[in-house]
Amino acid sequence: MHMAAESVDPGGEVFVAPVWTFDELYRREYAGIVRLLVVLTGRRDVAEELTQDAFLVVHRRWATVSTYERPDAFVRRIATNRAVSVARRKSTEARLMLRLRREPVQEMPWTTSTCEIWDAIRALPARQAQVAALVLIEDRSIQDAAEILDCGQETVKTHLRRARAGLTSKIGATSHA
Amino acid sequence: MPDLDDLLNHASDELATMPVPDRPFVPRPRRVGPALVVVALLAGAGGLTAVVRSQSTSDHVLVANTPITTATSTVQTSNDSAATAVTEPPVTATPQTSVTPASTTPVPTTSDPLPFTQPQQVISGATGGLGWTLDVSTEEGSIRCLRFTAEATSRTLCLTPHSDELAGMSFVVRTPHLMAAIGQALPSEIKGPITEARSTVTPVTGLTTDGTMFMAAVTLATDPIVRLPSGEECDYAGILDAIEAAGAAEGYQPTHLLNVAIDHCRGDIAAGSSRAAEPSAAQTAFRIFTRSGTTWLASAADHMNSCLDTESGTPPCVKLGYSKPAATGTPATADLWVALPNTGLSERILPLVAAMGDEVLVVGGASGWDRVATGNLRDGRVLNTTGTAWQPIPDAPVALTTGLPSAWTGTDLFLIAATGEFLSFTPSSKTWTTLPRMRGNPGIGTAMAWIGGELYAMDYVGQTFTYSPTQKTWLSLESPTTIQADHSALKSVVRGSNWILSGGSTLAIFDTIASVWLPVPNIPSDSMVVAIGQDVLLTTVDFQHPAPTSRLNDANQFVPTGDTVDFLWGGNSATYLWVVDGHWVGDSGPAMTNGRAIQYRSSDTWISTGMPTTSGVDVPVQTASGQLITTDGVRASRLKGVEGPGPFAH
Repeated sequence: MHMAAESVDPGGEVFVAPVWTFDELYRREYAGIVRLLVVLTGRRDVAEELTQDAFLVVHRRWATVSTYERPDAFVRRIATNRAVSVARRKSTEARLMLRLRREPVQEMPWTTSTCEIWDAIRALPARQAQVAALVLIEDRSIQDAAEILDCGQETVKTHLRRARAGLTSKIGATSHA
Repeated sequence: MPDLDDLLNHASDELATMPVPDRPFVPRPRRVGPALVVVALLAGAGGLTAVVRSQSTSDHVLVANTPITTATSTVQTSNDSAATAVTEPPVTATPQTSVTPASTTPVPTTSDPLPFTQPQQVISGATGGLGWTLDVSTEEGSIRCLRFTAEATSRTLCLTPHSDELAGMSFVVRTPHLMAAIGQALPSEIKGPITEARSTVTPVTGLTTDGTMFMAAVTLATDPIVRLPSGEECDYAGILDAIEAAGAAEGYQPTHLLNVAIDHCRGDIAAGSSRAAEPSAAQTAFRIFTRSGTTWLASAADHMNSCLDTESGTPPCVKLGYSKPAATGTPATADLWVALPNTGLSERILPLVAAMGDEVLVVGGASGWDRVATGNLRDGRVLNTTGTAWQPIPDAPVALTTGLPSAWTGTDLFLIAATGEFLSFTPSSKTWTTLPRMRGNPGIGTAMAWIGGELYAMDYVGQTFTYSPTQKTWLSLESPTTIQADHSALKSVVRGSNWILSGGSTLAIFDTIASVWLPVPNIPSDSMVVAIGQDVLLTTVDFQHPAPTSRLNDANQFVPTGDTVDFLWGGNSATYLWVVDGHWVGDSGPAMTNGRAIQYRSSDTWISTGMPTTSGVDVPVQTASGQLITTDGVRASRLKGVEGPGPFAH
């Protein structure tokens, strides 16, 4: 159960920020972040691992992170950054050199169209993939995604526009947005 | 044409229903492995190596305070006046609510001569069951101090500034259980607490081929060496070309390049973002491991965000640095390799090497890194049984490369090319035969075994077939229900008439006489099965917590061994490597890491050697008489062999 701390924002309105405890944060966000990272990595085991790693980082700095207004956004930022980093490294290594060796992938019960969506998102440039996962899949607002990714809303919009174009092209779909 | 939003909504709905099992958060490892940590300060040109070892679980880090250009540098321990070791409480904060109690053993605090008020880089990982962080402070262009925090112990390592004569310096941290997420520099993820992240020195971490971790500091050139073309995607090929060109200027050939790992080639701060004016904390590190033991390091820290966002109009640049030879290597323990005659083939990358009784086949490979997926070469040689000469053979019908499924019948070698062609090679007549293609998905990832005069094969989605050499036909077999589809890391072991396949957390056992799939023991969902040599091991592959391992016995039951198997990915082979009680092993028998052959045999013997003359990382093959042969396609070596007790107690 959250406690609440009141403060007054520069606009003069009372802002009620939740006071998180670490285990609350973990329990509330773990599953969602794993799902988010499944989209970005394609593998549940990697997603779980990266999620644990992200929480480990937060845990180590909890004294600081707990003072943040959005610890949940912070842990998501860490997790998604890690996800695209791993994905980028793996895809790069596979593309550039070494052996073509398929890696064990945990079976996912996705339909074909969903698999295509995941593949297309992962094929996007890293930042676009993050935005696509957050906005198009998790249905987060532009503002929320900007906060999570620690960038401006216009930047998110730009990435989103490009991501949609990329997805449309990659999977041969139409887009009305 | 489907509507994108419909597809996205459908995908989101599916994702929302994906079950995510609860997994407790464990902030501290449950088990602390033997703390053997070696910090070696390696100087480059002089080949100087300073090594300090500790066996104490509380003394994780030792200190070297040595000018790395001094030819007769000495090693200082934490009690030495020339060293600086500071023990202090961990910097990590205790959470408000701890799910699992963390170690709270107080550690005496002494003064820190160089407090880390503004760490330049923080790198974290886990080694030996310990989570750790390295805070790197820089001063006047050199790495000044490192703070190593593990468990309740925090140590500070301070170094004298290195000379300009060296382009880089490395620290090698070795642990018995190395399972680190290496190279995970975290500045972008923790930039909240870090307000200063500017430096001309870029610490880079990496995983060396001999199982050590290194961190190197590279003083970069003032001017960019390479400018990449603008574009949404980083031009990795361009980067590689540039690095190769720079390497060639130093006398290295492209074939010497072993691996390139590119870490987050992305802009963390896109142009136009609200934080664009802040210093970019994103560091992009390129690590290029070479066969000669040199690690090339490159960094692009200034404008790399342009890789993703060209709105700034500034092309990204890459600055290169490199560490000197031996900076990442470990001195060979012994020269146990005997040079064999050269094959007479042209320089190549990743040829197929296979044992055929006491003969060894080397064939195919790639002429460049862009061809390694399937290989583009077809010529080969066979090493005779005495190991004294390589005999030419006809070109293979198709290009071949390393890692292909193969099975030796005693007279013929069956193999499946990366492109799916099914071939056999008969050494007695030195002939290649193209055979009927296997159905399903033949290629890399197919498991293959020769049992009782029949060839058995399973593709990566679990479709199973048998091939009769006399009928020259493939027949479908019932696919097992106990092995998951899309398990491409299949490994198979033959025990008597049983064919045992493992992949991920699944196992299947086929009785070839009864032609039935046998019941298999239950495997916990958080466990994995891996075949190492002739053993099938069950282990909990937990990044943080290596667990005791069980081994499949002849009754097809897993019996605890009391040992642990750790797991990591990466390294130079870009394949999964397994760490059994601190030893790296291949996932299918003999393995080599940076020329150090490490093998686990079912007879409980280990081989750990020095460098072969090839200095390669090619997977060695073992002949029928037990000879371990390695070749990079041109050079070849044979291992004399030193055996010792294995880690498993029967």
